[in-house]
Amino acid sequence: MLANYFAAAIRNLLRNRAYTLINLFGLSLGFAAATLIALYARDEFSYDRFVPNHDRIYRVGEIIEPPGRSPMRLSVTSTTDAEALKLAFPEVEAATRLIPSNLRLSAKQDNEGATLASFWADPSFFDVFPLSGVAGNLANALSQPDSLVLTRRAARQLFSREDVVGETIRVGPDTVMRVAAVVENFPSNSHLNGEVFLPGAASFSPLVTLTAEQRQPGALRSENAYTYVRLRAAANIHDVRSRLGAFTDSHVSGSVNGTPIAKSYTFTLTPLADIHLQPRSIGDIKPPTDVRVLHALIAVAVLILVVACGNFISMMTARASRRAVEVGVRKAAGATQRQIMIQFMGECLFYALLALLPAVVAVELVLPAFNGFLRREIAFDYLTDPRLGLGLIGLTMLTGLAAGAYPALYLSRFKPNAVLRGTALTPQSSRARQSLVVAQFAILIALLVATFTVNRQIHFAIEDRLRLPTDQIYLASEALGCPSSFTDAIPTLGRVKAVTCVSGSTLGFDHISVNFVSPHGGGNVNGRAAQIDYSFFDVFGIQPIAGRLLSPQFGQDDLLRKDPATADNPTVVVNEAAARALGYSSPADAVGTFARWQRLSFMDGRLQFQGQSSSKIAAVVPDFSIGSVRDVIGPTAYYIDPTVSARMVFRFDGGSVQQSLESVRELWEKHSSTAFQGMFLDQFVNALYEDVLTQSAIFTWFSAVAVVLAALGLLGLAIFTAERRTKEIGLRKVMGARRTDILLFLGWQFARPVLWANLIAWPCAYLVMQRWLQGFAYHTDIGILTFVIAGALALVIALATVAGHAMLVARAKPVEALRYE
Amino acid sequence: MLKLDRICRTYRTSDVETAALDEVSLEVRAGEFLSIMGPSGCGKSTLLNVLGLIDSPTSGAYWFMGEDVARCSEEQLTLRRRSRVGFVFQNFNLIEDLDVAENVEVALLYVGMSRAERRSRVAEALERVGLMHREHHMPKQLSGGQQQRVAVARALVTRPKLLLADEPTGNLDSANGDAVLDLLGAINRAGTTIVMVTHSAEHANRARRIVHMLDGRIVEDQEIAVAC
Repeated sequence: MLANYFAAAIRNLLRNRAYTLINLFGLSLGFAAATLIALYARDEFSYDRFVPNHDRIYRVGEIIEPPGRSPMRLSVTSTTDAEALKLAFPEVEAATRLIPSNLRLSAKQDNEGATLASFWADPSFFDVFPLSGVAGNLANALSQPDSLVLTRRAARQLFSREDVVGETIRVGPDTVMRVAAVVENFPSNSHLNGEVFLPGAASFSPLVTLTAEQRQPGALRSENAYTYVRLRAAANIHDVRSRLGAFTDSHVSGSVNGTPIAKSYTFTLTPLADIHLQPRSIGDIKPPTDVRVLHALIAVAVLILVVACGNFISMMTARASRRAVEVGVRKAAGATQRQIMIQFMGECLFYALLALLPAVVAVELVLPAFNGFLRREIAFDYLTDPRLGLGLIGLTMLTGLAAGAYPALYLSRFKPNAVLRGTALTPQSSRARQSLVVAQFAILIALLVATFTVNRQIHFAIEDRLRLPTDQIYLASEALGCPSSFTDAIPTLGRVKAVTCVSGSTLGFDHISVNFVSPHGGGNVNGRAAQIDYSFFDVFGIQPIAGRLLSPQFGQDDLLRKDPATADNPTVVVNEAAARALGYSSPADAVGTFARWQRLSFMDGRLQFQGQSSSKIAAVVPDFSIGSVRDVIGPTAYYIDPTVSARMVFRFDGGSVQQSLESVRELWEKHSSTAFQGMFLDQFVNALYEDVLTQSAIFTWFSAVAVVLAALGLLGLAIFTAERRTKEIGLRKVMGARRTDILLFLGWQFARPVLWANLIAWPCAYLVMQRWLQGFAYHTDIGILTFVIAGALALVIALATVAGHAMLVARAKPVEALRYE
Repeated sequence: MLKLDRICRTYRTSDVETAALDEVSLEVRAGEFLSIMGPSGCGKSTLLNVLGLIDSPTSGAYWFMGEDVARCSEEQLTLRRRSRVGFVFQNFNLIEDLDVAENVEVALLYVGMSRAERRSRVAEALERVGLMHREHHMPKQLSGGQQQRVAVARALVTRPKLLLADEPTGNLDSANGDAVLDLLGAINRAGTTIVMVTHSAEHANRARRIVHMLDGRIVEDQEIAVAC
């Protein structure tokens, strides 16, 4: 029986080559696209699962919620927390800390070396992360203050080989360390991207120096270290979490304006495998993924398969008349409806399996480029990874069954007495096909709206919001500092419009708090302290809304330059958010008033809060940030403070940016032996939105796939409709219809479902994309034009797809059409 | 063998009801060769479909080989039809994706027979209609007469007790039509009951009994004397 079914299926497939190709190509394309998305999603959901016993490892994080401010999530904690947690919780088997390092490493004395992703790590690091060693003993590899661990990749990069245990490496300008062990590379699906693990026990390690600072009496708590704990096998995480509140109260000391800071702190324990799926936090080693976007991508994969299945169903039912006789004969011979259904379901499964082969080849071909774009190492080992192989087969079977169910049911319901007389086909199948086209185009239009909206938001974030020539602004590395001997010489180059020295907090790289006492009552206003110099506003093109900008001619503006240790506060410029938060009804009202505030200053090598004092608000400027549009721009106070303004920012002339940068570099090399490093603002902004840019590209590609699929489906239907309506078209021409009349008639037949599709797609796309945009504090509007363009594009795609075929049909002589029938 | 008692079959569209069969009573005895004649639309094919269990009456009783099947479900009719009824149609209704042997084999697929036995039965049936040499040809490669002989082979391969032929010569020239009728005559003589719908009085006369229909009713039931 199977042979008979198989013969019928294969010959039917070969007899209708055009339809077969459309069907198979569509399904293959759908499978390939869905497989790529599935591989990507699987990779995202598999982060850090390679670490043995990952379910017992947790990253310690913090949520800080200062009074009157939205909470801040931190992936870093104080350097003292690891030890305190181990002491307070018997469930903690081991705790470890990491602090990133940007020291240059060199394998040879005369070599410039390389800056690899490095971390200072506690000796217990490999107790918490029991990774596989390649050489050396990981157990005590970091216990000596001069021993370090390299990954296999780092060893290759530094020594061009992997057997490097015992070799020496110059770390920074004048420290030599010994390679104690080589560890396996971290895969791309790990939130840890370390290549080198430096000994946290070294006397100059920030793990040692910062811990010493934190332990000084009255020291202000600062968050600098990544802390991980490994719980005992029998530990109950819920118990541990329930006791974190009490731990915070006892461990976090100090107060701000009389309020214990422990009240603002919540410790979090994030399972290792969930770190990549958490919302963004300050200090993330690697930007986490947005789970909502992952879900959206999975939905896109499903939609693509739905469109591909739609084509399949459409083609199978359209061609049903050709199989009707077969059904009738088989039924007359005694086949039950179930047997006919099984036959056609089997045939659809066969089609799906046939489509899987080119899909697998396509994925193999595309994956290297896909990996290159995403900077991943996603593998497609379907032969050695049974879950992947079975997943592929399962997906194929599921799609085959989903696509085959309706055609099988439709075909198996033919009444033999009717089909054998040639009268079985009802308009039902035609309506079903029309509905499918409407659904397919609704999906397509919704995907187009999504793609346009994502791209508009990116444009808004990168261009509209900053309104800065991002390719002319250069952010120098913090490691260079801001030596006045160098910045004073910059004007002599004549190629730099302006240079400024600012703190990391000003640029949003870190956060230094400032606490205002609201002059109108209502509690404190916590905000960001932005330590700048006088040319900051010039470099970033910021004009005051009210008041005057800071200037050295006003003594109080220049206060901290003259006396960094003073307890008084300098004049401030605040942003609109601060003016609002302080209760001023307009920016002009704020200007000239005095506000009491508490300032953090860098004294004796550490940050400490000064007492409250008043200073004048000189101006109110618009809310400004080069940070992500995801984050709300909070109250910000700008003031001149050279002690923490250690980051240079240059603004070049538009015409000769590269030459200007070169001349700055040359000047720097005359001043210092270290390399001049940094990045343009556009690179920084692109890195900031890397995930959104990736999402945008993925949405664009897969929307293109959906376009091709929908067009294919329509092409198949156009061929079928033209075939079926040859006589009708011939008759219309005999009755006097012109070629344009026929074209309009056919065009309208295909335009109608596309127009209907808009009615479904527009509200759905609006709701989904509006929700997506809500994830950004600052976002573009979707705009009616987006919908109109998406709808119009879908219409153009539809008409362009069927135009060729419609033209052929319209040009045929009526007599041929009638004779053909 | 077959007994219809006041069978009605009506078709309904949204606002029109058409009576294709109007209180038809008919008895067909085993081994008979019966022709049904009448103008187009008189209900001949509907009667044949009801007799062959591929359509159900709206009312009345139908005893098929001793069993009342008028109220049977489609599934029950299918099971009763298997291997007991063979069909031959005016437009041959061969499956264009299957070759001659495979087309004939279709009738055996649903009766639970081994592959070897099916092959031998197919060969036997094709031998009987004189098309063994064409077993691997596709339907399109055959003439109309040959296609109808394949259809006859498919109808008789299950060795049915009843063979129903709906205008089996309607699409054939006279020579091929005669050949097909000769074949049906031989099958009848071998013991198979045949009911044939035809427009042609000449072809109807090949039967031993002719039933005339008009407007869904039997208007004449005529036995034909067979010359000894």
